[in-house]
Amino acid sequence: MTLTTAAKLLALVSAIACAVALPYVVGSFLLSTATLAIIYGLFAMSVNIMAGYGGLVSLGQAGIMASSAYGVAYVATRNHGYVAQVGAGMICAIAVSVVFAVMAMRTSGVYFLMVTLAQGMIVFGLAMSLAPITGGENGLTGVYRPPAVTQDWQFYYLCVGVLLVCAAAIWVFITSPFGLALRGLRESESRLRMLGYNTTLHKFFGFLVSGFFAGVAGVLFAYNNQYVSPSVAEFAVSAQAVLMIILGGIATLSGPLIGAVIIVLAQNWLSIHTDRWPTIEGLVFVVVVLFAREGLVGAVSRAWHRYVPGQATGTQAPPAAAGEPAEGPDQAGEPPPADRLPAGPGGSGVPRGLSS
Amino acid sequence: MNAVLTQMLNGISFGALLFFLASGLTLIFGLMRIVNLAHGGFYLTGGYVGLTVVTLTGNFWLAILAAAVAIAAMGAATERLLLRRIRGQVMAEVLLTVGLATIIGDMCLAVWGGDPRSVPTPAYLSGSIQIGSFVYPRFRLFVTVLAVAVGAGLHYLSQHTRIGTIVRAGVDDRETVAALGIDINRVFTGVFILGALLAGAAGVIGGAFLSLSPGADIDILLLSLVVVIIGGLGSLPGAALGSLVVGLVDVFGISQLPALASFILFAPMALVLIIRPSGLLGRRA
Amino acid sequence: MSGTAPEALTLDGVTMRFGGILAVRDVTATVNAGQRWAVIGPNGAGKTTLFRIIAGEQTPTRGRIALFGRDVTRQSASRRARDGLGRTYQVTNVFLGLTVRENVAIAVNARRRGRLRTWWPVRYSGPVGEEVDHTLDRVGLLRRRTAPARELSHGEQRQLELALALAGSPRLLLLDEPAAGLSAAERAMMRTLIDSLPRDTTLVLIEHDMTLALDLVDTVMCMDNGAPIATGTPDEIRDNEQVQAVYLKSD
Repeated sequence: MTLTTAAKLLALVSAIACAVALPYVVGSFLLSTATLAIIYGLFAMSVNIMAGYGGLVSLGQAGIMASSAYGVAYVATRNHGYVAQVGAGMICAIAVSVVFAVMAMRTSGVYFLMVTLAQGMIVFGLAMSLAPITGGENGLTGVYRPPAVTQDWQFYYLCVGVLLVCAAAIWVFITSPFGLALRGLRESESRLRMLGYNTTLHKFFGFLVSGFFAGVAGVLFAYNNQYVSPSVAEFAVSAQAVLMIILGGIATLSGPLIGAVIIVLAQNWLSIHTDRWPTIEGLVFVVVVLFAREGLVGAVSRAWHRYVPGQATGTQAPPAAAGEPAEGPDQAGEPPPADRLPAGPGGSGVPRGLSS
Repeated sequence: MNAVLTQMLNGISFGALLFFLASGLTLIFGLMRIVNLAHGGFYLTGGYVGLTVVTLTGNFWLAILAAAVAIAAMGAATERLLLRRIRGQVMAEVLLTVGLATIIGDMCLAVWGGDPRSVPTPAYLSGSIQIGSFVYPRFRLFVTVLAVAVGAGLHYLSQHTRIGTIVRAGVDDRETVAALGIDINRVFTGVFILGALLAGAAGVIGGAFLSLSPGADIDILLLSLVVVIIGGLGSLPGAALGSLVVGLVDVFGISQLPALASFILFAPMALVLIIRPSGLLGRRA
Repeated sequence: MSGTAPEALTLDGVTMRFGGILAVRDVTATVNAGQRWAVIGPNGAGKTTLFRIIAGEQTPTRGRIALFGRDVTRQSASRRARDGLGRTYQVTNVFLGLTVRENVAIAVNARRRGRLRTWWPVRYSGPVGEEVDHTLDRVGLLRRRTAPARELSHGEQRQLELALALAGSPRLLLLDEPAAGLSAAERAMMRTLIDSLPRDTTLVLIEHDMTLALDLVDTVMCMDNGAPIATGTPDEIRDNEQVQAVYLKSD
């Protein structure tokens, strides 16, 4: 085991230990903030599947999370059991993901951005207008947590557990051949096609997987707040997820979670002292985009490989789960920066009309 | 019959307003491949600046001028100091404009508050005109006429001036234009400033017959995006056509089917993106 | 089902018109399995456009293309790749953000379509890893296998480019200026590499370096202005006056 892998395992174990110990150490306000951070972290991780690894940033993922939250709430208000609620939520998420994926899979770059933006807005609009189903502007109340997790600290542990399971699943997915092809998609779609891959299908399935985890986040969201309103589907939510991803480290497993923790903590704390949180968040956006595009995990990883001796050479060990650029533990380079997107439907690759 | 005519003119005049924004947006995208999501913020800030100027001086035209200048400066600063550093990086550019839009929206809230405000108009533009039994607000007609004039001006600029030819060529093929030794940076800044200027001026105008309030920036941005997508990214005629279509659909859609209002607008946008991403009149990208 | 005819590549009246420009005019040719062809000609002769048409990245305005007897004119590039077509690019087109090993793994995985394996983590110690290492060894990149592709030298990137195409064990290999931008030593290495390719792999290459091209192939087609002007053995082409004229006039 290399030093890097050991360090990562240590970080993972410490993080889990802290997470488990948290309810004993902090008060209820911070605990509920932590719970929210975990849920948004999971949501951001779901966006990262397509954004970080696939190079396609969805600005409408909040629509999927909202669909699943509404699914749970709707069934809850009709007085069905918890299994039905969760089931309905996940089915909604997957159904909406399929629709979104079919709409978006033939686009890339800026056009992908705009289709997904429209998708999020459509869901928001429908949530506002279909009052008989969604409660319109007022949303739906009457969502109750299952008996085993009614208390905040119990629900917190549930979220931690769900997050760990999902993170593991995402890790398996990213390190699979499918995940590898998805990362190739980000680098050069033309090359991938020329190797025999059906890139449209890959985008479709990638989108589905991404939507699945957004759905899980939505279910947790519904039970956390015990209330769902159209604001869950707002563009701002999707945009904030992207900020979390970039802040934490795009195309890393833990980056989105770290970004979520920072943003949620900052938002909750700063909002007590000032009304200008949106300005601060916007400034963070601008600063991170201009100066820190590899995010925190990326910066830490780079510093590690530079200053810890002998870590730049390769090993066969597979990457550990946390704090990890998905390329592997033997990378001296940074995670691919967020600019590696094709500029439009033409994509990257050989320019037309070049010499012969 | 009069009701339908009124609705139609409402749609057309609203489309006219959208054209101010859409024209800038489409040029900025066509030339620089940037989707400027802060464009709505430009509109709103321009409107508020104009409101303040009118409140202080009582001069409506001065307000429009002041707004145009102020937002042009804002646009110049944005392009020169921020966007230029990340030129060519699509995702970064979009995200930067999102961050910027957030800041602008919040700053407007901080300075001008959350209550809806209206820009007062001069007497000769207020009130209604009357043709037979048909009555219609004068200001909305003014907006339409102004949009046509601006459209004509832009058309002239684009078709009959050297700079216009350069911009059109740049929309088609950026690399070649740069290779011809033209300082593409200045063209970019210029186009961005023009777009911002139009948006700022539009803010004052829009603030006169619609109102200025937090969220108005997002509302109008989204509609402008729909216009630009449907009309074709990079196409001025497309922006004109799209504005007209969206204006009419918005007015008629909201009055007939309020429950599905956003769906009516965004579904066609999504459809266009999927089937013909270059829009109705845009070039195939 | 992919084709099995002895004609690896058949071009029939292939024409490509871009607006007012005829980039490729009525190209008709047949490359038999196992043959090695070079397509030469001055800049703008239509060579790369022809390649893109063969690869499936461009649909011709007119004409037919067949791979091993099967009409592929309407077939997508990825479909042709799955049927045994490999292609390298003139401007290096590899997955820069991934390691060398990961690059080749993607290529190798394209062939291995096992259902379950698609979802299981990639292990470089199993059969996939072996094939990856074998391919890297063939092109001489084995010792660089964990390096990010972005950090490779230009020559090494060209090697990787070739490795990607080879990993799929293609039946027909299109090489678009494989020696582009290489130093003399690197050229020699590339020449050896190409020469060592299995004899049952049909090869069509575009190359500006005449000596490299003529040494490696058994048939040469010279193009000018979108159309073939001479086709023959390297010796015949070397002595062909029309070919000489075409190259001289473009100097």
